[in-house]
Amino acid sequence: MNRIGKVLMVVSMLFFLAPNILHAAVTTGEAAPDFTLTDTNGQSHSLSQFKEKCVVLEWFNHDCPFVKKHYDSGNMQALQKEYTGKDVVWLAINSSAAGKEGYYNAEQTNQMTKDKAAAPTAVLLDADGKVGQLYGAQTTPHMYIINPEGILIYQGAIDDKKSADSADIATSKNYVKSALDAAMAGQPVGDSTTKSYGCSVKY
Amino acid sequence: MDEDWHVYWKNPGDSGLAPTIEWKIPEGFTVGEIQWPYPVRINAGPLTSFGYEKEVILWSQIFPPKEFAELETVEIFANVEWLACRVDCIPGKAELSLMFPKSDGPPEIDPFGSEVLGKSRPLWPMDSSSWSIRVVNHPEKFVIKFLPPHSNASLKDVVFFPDDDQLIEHAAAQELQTDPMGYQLILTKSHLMITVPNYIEGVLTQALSWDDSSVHRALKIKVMLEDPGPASSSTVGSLNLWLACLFAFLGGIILNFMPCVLPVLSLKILGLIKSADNRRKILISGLLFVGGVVVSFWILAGILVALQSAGHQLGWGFQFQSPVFVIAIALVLFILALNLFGVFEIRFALNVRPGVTSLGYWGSFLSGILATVVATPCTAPFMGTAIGFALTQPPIVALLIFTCLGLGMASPFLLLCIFPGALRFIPKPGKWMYGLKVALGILLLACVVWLVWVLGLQQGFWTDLSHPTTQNLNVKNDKISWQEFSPELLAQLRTQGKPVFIDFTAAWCLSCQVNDRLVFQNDKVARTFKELGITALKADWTNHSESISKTLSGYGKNSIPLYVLYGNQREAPFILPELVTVDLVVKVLQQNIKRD
Repeated sequence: MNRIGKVLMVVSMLFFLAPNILHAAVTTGEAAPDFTLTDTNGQSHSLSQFKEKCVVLEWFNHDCPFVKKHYDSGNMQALQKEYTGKDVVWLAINSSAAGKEGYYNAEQTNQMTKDKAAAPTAVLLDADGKVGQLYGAQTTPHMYIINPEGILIYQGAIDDKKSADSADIATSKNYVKSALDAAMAGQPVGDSTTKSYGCSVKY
Repeated sequence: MDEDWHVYWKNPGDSGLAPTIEWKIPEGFTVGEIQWPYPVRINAGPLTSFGYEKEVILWSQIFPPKEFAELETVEIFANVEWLACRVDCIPGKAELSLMFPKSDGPPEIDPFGSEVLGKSRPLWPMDSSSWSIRVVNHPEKFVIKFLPPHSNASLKDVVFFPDDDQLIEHAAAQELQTDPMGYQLILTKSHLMITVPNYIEGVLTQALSWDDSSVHRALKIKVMLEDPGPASSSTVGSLNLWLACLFAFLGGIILNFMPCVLPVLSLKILGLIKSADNRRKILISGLLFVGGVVVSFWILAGILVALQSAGHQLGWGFQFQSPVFVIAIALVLFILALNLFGVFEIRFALNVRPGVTSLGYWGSFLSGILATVVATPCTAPFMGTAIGFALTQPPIVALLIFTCLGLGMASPFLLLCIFPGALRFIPKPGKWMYGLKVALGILLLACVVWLVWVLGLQQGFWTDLSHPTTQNLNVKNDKISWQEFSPELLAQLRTQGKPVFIDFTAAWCLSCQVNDRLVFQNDKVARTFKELGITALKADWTNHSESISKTLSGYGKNSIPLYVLYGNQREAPFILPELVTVDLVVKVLQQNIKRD
């Protein structure tokens, strides 16, 4: 019986090994999938062209109160400036679909970037949501960090205080900052996967 | 809230934010946790959130200090923050306060408060500690296995909401399957999960009510995560149609070796040897035998399904619960035995002789029927699972599974008919056949004796010595003291957290009797029962019993033997295989029950 039992277990296990088609998402510690998107100046960017550099992906939607929390306080811009200054590539991505909340054309987006004094390397437009869904971006903001070897080393929230209140920024732990600092110092990333918080991405 | 807007549950799902309450209360006061009503799924494209639409009441209990005289005014403040979303999101906040003026009179009931409480209470997930719920950790899935205490509970749109937001993919479909143990809900693990937790906590909801209240749609669950492991050989993770058919086929093959079936089949094979020269006739009689077996399985299944849908609680082998049927079968087997002893020759049935074609062919068909009928009290391994599954399925699926069972049972004989060459290895008819006939006749007579014994038990002519009642609890130390099973007694023992072993048996169930003699009357097994302090319950199904049938179907079974073990933890029961050995039972008992 024991042997039969084992055979049955194996057979029944097969039912659980069916690949999970629904959720394209990325796993921390694995190679980040390549993508190509056009920025607000009409220039094309691929992840693969930034080999040997640290890359930050930031999903944003300027109409979302959680994004406003980090932009109106200047928190996000400060991070962008600090790390692009340290040779990090910072790609801000907008996956709002045309007609949905947070969707703006290239020109409008450039104006907002300028008004907010944002300093990413480039602002990429992903109105069909393909890259957002490839990475499993769920919220705005939603942050991803890829190391120079092309490995995803962080995905999740920007910090550990799940709120829309900018007063919380001062007392929160910024996961992106910790991960980038650790990676640059050659240390392993402490919190490498967290649950992001914010508005849903408007696919 | 206006149409389309929602706020979030404690786990908001893929996006959003749970409301928070920051209390300012007088010193000495304490605040209980928020009672979260069960949420709904809110889907937006590929994302899914958990929350509330229209209206939600978040209830918290506030406790005054012990020596509180209510002689002073009490003021309570709550800073509430929430996020409301439609497509766009708006964070909200409010400062609420409540003042209780000082009073020395008796407490008064606030009509508004009690109205609100009355409305909210049914929406709170109810306690599930009396439920049998397990969660199994598979490589990419969590499987929640659960068994409602009311086996007739209907289920619709079952959804699990995890407390932890990094446990499962919130947007993934959650598939509900029937399972030999009840139901199972398949959840996709979250790609954000860092470590697999020890406990799975959350709320299990469905569109109908879990109990008779018509309002309780949510269950609070907290269950220790189990590894799949070789927990039970008769429980398969996921039984789909084809696997059930395969099980039925295998179970059918095994039936051939059951004590009452073996003589009938051996006689058929002897008949074949005699007519080994005529291949065509052998093939035809083989096919007719298959026909006989399959048709009788159809008839049995048909009667069973029809009676069940008419509301009867019946199970496999139910016909042996009828004394008239037992008498008829005993007579048929008796006549066959006499025939074998040569008391009289009937050219009926079992000896297919070339030349006696018409009766011979009929004989093949009839012996197929007889083989099936005498096989039903024996539940072979695999078979119980397949039948349990079949009877929860639409009739057409049940028919398919029973066909597989019949084909499985007929297949060894059919193979012999297709390749009669294999019979060459059997010696030529001669004196040895006489001896074999007598041996088979004795086996058949033993079956008759057994049937008479069953009949006597049913009619109360005598009592079964191997089914001691509660009176002889203190007899010898090397016997298991069985108590009579009742669902109430089981529930009582379970709430006391006592380990319980249930033996579902019947006098007419041959496999049960074999197990009882060889295993449960064994000293080593009895000692293990005693050492581990297991309460042994015997559920006797010899006569029709609605409550036992119901309990069986609660385990996803419609046949016996069934052996169920409850450990001393609040865990789901362990189901033992249909055929057990001393070593297996001792091992299972020791593994599942921790000594105090």
